Amino acid sequence: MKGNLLIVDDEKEIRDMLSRHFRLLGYDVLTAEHGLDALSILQKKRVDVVISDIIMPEMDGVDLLREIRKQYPMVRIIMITGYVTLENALACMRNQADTCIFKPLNDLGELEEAVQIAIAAQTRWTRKFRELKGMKPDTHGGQS
Amino acid sequence: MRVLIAEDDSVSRTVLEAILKKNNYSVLVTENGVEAFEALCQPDAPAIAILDWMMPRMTGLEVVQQIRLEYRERSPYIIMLTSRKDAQSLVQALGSGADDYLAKPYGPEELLARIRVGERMVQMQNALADHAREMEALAEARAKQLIHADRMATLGVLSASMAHEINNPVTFISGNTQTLQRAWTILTENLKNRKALPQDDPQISFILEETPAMLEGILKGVNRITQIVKGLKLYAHKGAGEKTICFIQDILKNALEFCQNIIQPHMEIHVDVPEDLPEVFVHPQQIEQVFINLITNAVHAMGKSHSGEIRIMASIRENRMRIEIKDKGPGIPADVLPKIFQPFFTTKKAGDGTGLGLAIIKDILEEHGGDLHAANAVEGGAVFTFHLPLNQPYVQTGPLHLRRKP
Ligand SMILES: Nc1ncnc2c1ncn2[C@@H]1O[C@H](COP(=O)(O)OP(=O)(O)O)[C@@H](O)[C@H]1O
Ligand SMILES: [Mg+2]
Repeated sequence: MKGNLLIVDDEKEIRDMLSRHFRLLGYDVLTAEHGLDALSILQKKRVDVVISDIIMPEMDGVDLLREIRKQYPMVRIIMITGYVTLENALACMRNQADTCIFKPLNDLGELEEAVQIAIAAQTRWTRKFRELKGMKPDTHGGQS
Repeated sequence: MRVLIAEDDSVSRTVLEAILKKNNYSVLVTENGVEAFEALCQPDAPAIAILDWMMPRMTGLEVVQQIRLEYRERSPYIIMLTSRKDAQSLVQALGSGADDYLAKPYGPEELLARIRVGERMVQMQNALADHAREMEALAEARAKQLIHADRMATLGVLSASMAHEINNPVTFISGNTQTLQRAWTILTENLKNRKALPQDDPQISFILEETPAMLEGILKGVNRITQIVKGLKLYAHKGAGEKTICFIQDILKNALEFCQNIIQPHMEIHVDVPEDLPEVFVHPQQIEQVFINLITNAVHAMGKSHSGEIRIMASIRENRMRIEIKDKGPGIPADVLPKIFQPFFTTKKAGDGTGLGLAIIKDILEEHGGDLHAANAVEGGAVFTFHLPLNQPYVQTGPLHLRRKP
């Protein structure tokens, strides 16, 4: 499996489109309609990368981003937005989104690449933690 | 001033004419009411008329009544001449529309005094009419301006929300098509590898052949919509950003860099911008946009012709920065010229132009307190000229030289 994605967008057609695309590419894909929906899925399921719209009812993308940064530091987030403003882009950057991609996504390649990079970064961390697990606690402490 | 006289009695007529001519009036002589009426109906009719009351065929009174009835605005000053001295006749004459009333016999002094009153009235009336016309023209121009501003404002608001609304459906049309493209390739490759593609069915062959082109067609449409939406967004958001003090050369340099990929190798760009031009206080990105749009248009206009030249000149005129961008294209046809600044007006084929370029930059320049004009150069090609206010009044020596180094 290439990785687990969670796609969050209030527009069903866009959710379905992105879901199909990444399933075709071999990813496991979950979808959510808004931020709260996404958080409840994150509680239950393993997710590597979240792809989230910004403007949504209930809980918008920036709040979701903040919440994920707090609760799930391992999860990577890519923001997509149809409302391209400097404020939106800055909010994404300040809250440490991986990147911010503008709709209408006329080149899905950009999003694919962002997902690959996110997954690669995540895989590296996972590997580090695995290595760490194999080590004895005191080998970690007495370095300096 | 010209004066018309109408008098059937030849002696009185000659006397009247003589008095007027002696006092340097040019006189139009008529011998009865009908003649007088006809003369007064002409567009260049005298502004003052002296009518005898009693005349054959049409009395002076009837002439007055008819004139007042038919020519409300451009109406002569009419003095009624009569031997009737009673108050009732006076009332009747004035009531019918005469401006003044002179009883025979009269002395030349009195006649002249009354004509002078008439002249004063005519002058005043003319001044008033001129003024009214001016006000009307002003009101019309203002109304046009308001309608324009209103349309622009509506378009701005509309385009911001519209751009956003259009973006979502475009996203899933575009995305699904891209996925379908990918899926199609996978599908056909797989079938080919298995040698499972039917070779004998012409309809299937047709579908296999044409499907990629259909998908391309959809994506082309999507890209075109995306371009328009981007244009509209630019239109709506052009107010963003900060004004700063900057040099026009720097802005131009960025714009030219940006345009590198559209400028054809055979096109020559001449930049004639003096080193010591003073600074302007502008939104640099917006002015960059102005240059980009004008250069893009010039490049488009020169198209595939073998030689091409764009000349960009900057100078100071009447304390404003004046910039001229001249190309060697075909110029702008006279019937197109008045329309080029309208949003969505384009002569380019769909997909090549949105018709928003000039509308946007004209707005930008006007918001900067500048302007934008288009014309054709005598030697051929189009010239776009714009002005920008300077950051500070320009002293002939140039403010740069006055600045002391710390
Ligand atoms: N340099 C030029 N030479 C000739 N025609 C021009 C030039 N610049 C603009 N035009 C005319 O003005 C029209 C409107 O220009 P613009 O508002 O930039 O929209 P667009 O470039 O998308 O058509 C063009 O379609 C063209 O007919
Ligand atoms: Mg243009």
